[in-house]
This record gives sequence, C-alpha cells and structure tokens, in this order.
Amino acid sequence: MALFEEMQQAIIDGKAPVVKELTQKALSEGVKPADIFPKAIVPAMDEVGRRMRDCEFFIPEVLIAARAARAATDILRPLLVSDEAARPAGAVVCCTVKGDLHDIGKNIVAMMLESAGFSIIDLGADVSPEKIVQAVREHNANLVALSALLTTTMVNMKSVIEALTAAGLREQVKVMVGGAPVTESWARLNPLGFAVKMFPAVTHSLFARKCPTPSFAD
Amino acid sequence: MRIEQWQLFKKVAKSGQADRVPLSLIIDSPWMPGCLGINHLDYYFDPEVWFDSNLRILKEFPDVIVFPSWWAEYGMAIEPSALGCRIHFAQDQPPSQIPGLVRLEDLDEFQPVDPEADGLMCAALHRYRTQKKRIFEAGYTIPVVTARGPLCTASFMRGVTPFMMDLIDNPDGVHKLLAYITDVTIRWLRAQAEAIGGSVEGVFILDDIPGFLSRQHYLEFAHPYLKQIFDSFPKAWVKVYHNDASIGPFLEDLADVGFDVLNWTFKLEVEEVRKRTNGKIRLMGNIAPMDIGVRGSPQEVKTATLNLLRRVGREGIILSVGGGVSPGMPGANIAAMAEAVREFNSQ
Repeated sequence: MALFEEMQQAIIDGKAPVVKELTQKALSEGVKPADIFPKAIVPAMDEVGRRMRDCEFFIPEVLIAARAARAATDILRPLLVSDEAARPAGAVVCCTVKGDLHDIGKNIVAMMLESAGFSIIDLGADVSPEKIVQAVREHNANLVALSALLTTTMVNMKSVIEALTAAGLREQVKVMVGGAPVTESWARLNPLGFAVKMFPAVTHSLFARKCPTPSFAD
Repeated sequence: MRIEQWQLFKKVAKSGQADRVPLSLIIDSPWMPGCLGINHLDYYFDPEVWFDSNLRILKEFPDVIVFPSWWAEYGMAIEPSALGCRIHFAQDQPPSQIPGLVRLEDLDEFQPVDPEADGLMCAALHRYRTQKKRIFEAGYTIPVVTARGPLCTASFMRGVTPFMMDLIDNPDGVHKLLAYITDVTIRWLRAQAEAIGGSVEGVFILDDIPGFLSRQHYLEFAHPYLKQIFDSFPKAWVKVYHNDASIGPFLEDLADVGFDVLNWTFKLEVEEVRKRTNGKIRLMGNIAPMDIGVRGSPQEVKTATLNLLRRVGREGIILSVGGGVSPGMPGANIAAMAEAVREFNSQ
C-alpha cells in the first residue's frame, strides 16, 4: 500500500526516475503488473486532472506528471500483453490534423489516456485523413482523438469524419476533438466528442465497462 | 490605417479618453488571403499582391483601424526563420515552423542574429523599405513595429511540449534561451523602426504561451522578459500586448509589464479585466472571434457589439474581437461590427 502511495506521489510530482525505480521495486516484490495501473497510475493521473481543473496545475506540471506515468507504463506494457484482464482499455488513434504542426494538446491527451490504460497509436502532427483511416483499420481502434491549434486547420477535422464515413468506419469509432479554437458548439455542429478537461479514470472506467460512448465532462 | 485613425488609437491608448470608441481589428495573413480568395504564397511573396490585398481591405472597411497597419509578416514564421527553424509553406494557409533547437545546450553554438540578413526578417525589412513610399502616398501610415514574444519564439525553437517541460527540468537553460531571444526581439523591432522610418511610434508584441503557465512560472519566465522588451522603447510610444490564452492566473501582474493596451481572450469579461488591472491599461476587445465573429450572422454581430459597448461604456475601450480576426470571419460581419460602433458613437 505504501509503495502505491509513494508511486502516486512521484507521478504527481513528475519524478520519472523515481517512478521507474518504484515500478521495478514493486515488480521485484511480486506485485502483479495489472495491479499497478488501477492502484497507482490511474489515481495519480486522476489527481493530476483534478489539480489542472482547479488551476493548481498548469501545462508544464501536467506534462511532467504524464511523462513520469509513462516511465511506469513503458515497463508494465510488455508484461501485460498476455494478461487478458489487463488488456488495454481501448485503442486510440491520436494526431494533430493535416496542416497543423502544433502537438502539445495531442501529446497531453495521448499521455493522459496512455496512463489510464489505453493503447495509443500516435500518428504525430500534420496527418492526412487517409493515414488516420488506415491506422483505425490496422489497429482496430475504437477512439480517434484529433487536435488542432489553428482556426485554419480545425476545419480539417471534418475531413477526417468524412473519410471515416466513406471508409465505413464511422460506427466503429468515436471521435474526440480538442484544441484552442475548438469549442463545444463547434463540436456539436459536427457530431464530435469534445473534451475540455480529461479525467483518465472516467474514460478508463467507461471503456472497462465496454461502454461504447465515452462522455467527456467539462 | 490612416494617420487620423492612429491618432485616435493613440489617444485612447494613452489617456483612455476619446469622443468616440475606435474599432480596431488585428488583421493578418491567417484571414486576409482567404477572405480575398487569393493564394497564401502569392500574398507572402508577391509584393504587388500584398499591397493590393491590404489596400482592398482598407478601402472595403474604412471605419476599421487595421492593426498593426501594413504588416510585413509571414504567419508566425519570421522570428523562428532567423533562429534555425525550418519553415514549411503551404498554398492555402500560413506557414508552420519546425523546431530547430534539439537541445537547450545547442544555443551555445548559435551566432548572433542579424535582422538585416537573417531569414524572413530580411524579407520583411525589404518589403517595408520598398513599399513604404507608395503606402504613405496612398494616405496610410505604418506606426507600429511587431514581433512575437520571447516565450512564443522559444516554443517555436524548441517545440511547445519540450519547452513546457524545460521550464521545470532546466530553468537555467530556459533563462539563457529567453535572454537570447529577448535580445534578438529588441534588435528585430529596432530594425523595423529603422526600415520604416519616422512614422513609427508604437510596438506590438504577441505571445500566447504565458497563458499556459501558473502565476509563479509567469513571474519567473515571462514577466521580466516581456517587460524588458516594452521598456526598451520610448515611454511615449504606444505599446500593445496580445495574449488570448488563459491570462487569468496573472492578470493583475500584466498591469505592470509596461504596455498600454491589452488584446485578450473573450473568455474574460471587460469588467473583470478592468477591475483586476485597476484601470491601469486600456482594453482592446472582446467580441468572441469564432462563436460570434465567424459563426454569427451580421445581425448577431451587431447585437453583440452594441450590447458590449452599452454595458462597458466608452472609457479605455478599443472595440475589437478577443484575439485576431479568425479565418472565415465574413466581411459582412466586420461591416456589422463597424455599423454597431458607428451607431453607438452617434448616441
């Protein structure tokens, strides 16, 4: 128990080397890899999300916490492949849309979802709709997360929706959008999910219950 | 903008008082080529297209104080282009910048920047020098020099995500980078003033990146460098700061940076900004640029503008959108905003 709490604190403090060390220690003491996600990583990132919502944490603090969480998931992920109970909560294709090279929002979302147990297919920035469709097919993804920082490029989110529809994949995936110019009203105009603040535990539990429609709360 | 428009802008900026509310919009290349149906590359690289485009906009919206007036810009690419970033151009949108500073320590290898010769700074200075005569002869002025702020430029050099983590991982390295960029920025602004000549009496800094930070990080990494830039220019100059990200955590501190006018996000009401900055700065805003400016009907734009002006009054206000004019904002909506301001001023 103390070890999990120590890990949580190290993640919240963004201390990646400490998290790595504690993860290895936990495994050497016989802790099951599948227990570390729900008992250390998910609660820690949930707390990070809460602190961001309450303006206690800002972008730099969130990024280093997510990086610390990744120090654990990088060790744990290979150990979980054969564990049915610890299969990823969902497969997420994420990217910044075509024409846009800004990646901070996409990186934060990817790291938060990864720490919540999702499998992340990060296509990077300036990604064409065709490449997204290909990745959804290849990885059998159930969520597409799109980011745009520019008002000039946010319209390309619609092109992704059209490409997914044309490829017959629109029913398979939920599409989540975010980025500075993206508002909830815009997302509603283009039947998309919209995430203002993300809480990994929420999305994780929704997927864990096989809920087909994650909802993203303000 | 015309000289009398600048005089009005300056009067409100410096005294907060004027017999009418100015309407001023930040208009640049994310919006203009799309509005006029021209190619971005032509706009950037063909001086005739650039001149004619700006003239068309000024003639179509004579009541609008186009800010910062005739602006030789290439999206956000000028500063990073002189600082080692690859610039990626496209036909139908502003260019993007690909980070070039892989490690903070690599800054030690950087040579001093020469605005007269390096990257797109050279191109912009040449544009001012070759076009200013016909701009002045057409009845317009170029009163303001413009640059991205130090954190914005640092983010282009490093990439936003690595730069955000640098703030915690390597604060000394970040200070070194910001000091370097601040020096470059001041010299770049001075080079513009020299190229344009005696009409210049204002400086405009755009930097949204402080809006990602806590107050503590803002005070350490943003405030002193922004202040250094603004303080490097005469006190009599009009100084304008744009940041339409989340400025709430350090709003009170912004009043002491040394600028006269703030262009900020529509998400913070005029009343709150006035109160928290203790009336020390003038406000340029704050109609919602997307939900009203782009997606509203002309009638909705007019109503929103009149409602705002009736609510906040004339003092210290330069009517604008809460940010720059967003791509896709119809000309009819700009005209509606101008009509609303005219109507308000006539009352």
